Amino acid sequence: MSIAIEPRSSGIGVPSFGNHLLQLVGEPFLFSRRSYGDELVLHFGERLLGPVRRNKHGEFRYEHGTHSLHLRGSAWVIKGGRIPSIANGGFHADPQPELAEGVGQGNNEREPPITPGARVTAAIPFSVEREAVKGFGLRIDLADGSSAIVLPTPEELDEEPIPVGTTLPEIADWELRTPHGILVVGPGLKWEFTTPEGV
Amino acid sequence: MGRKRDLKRVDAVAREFGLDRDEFGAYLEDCKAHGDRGTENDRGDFTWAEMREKARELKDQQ
Repeated sequence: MSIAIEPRSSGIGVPSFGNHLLQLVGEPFLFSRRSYGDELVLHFGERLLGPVRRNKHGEFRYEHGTHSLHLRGSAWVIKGGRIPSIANGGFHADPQPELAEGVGQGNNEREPPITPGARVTAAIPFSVEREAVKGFGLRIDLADGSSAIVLPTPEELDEEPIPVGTTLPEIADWELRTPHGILVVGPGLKWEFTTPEGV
Repeated sequence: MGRKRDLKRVDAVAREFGLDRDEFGAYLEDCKAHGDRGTENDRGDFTWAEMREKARELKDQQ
């Protein structure tokens, strides 16, 4: 899938992109998946299947939600609702793993303890400022009592050579993709919302 | 290799081949999960060349 996009709005500073997050409120949680690079993606809304692809082991279809939250250059903590548990990730790149503490009691599970079908009740951005990090975090509350907290992590040094002619893109702290557009937040205090052509 | 570095590599190769980044990332992870692993490290991550080969694999089906 490839869509042409054009800038709609962007900004720097206080999280004035909160209205774009309203697109997520009311959507049901579907599933989560770790993509290559250990990126956790939370899928919401309606389940969609991409075209059939074939690889060495058989068939592959990209399954995703109409709405997806991509936790890219961020650490995250998810507190379970009905089942008391905590999942977290991305803290290996963060000098302050204690940030994961105090969110609740339970086991450190690898996958998010969110009940499928639980609807998003709130999506709240907040400013984060601590050593080596200035950016925007995000908290999402769901109807089953679970919550997800997203915290930007410091930039990592590029340690290895890259192929000649290749430029490495910036990695956003997190992104929200919906049928109405893509909200890209970070790195740093910047954000941008782009819409598919024709929307 | 750092986590953000991995993501930058996927993004760069997806952009080079005109692939959807999310589908490509899921495709790579699916390959690894089924034993079609890279040689970058003992986690089976892909080198630049291996990742480009995977991108060609996917692109040829579009």
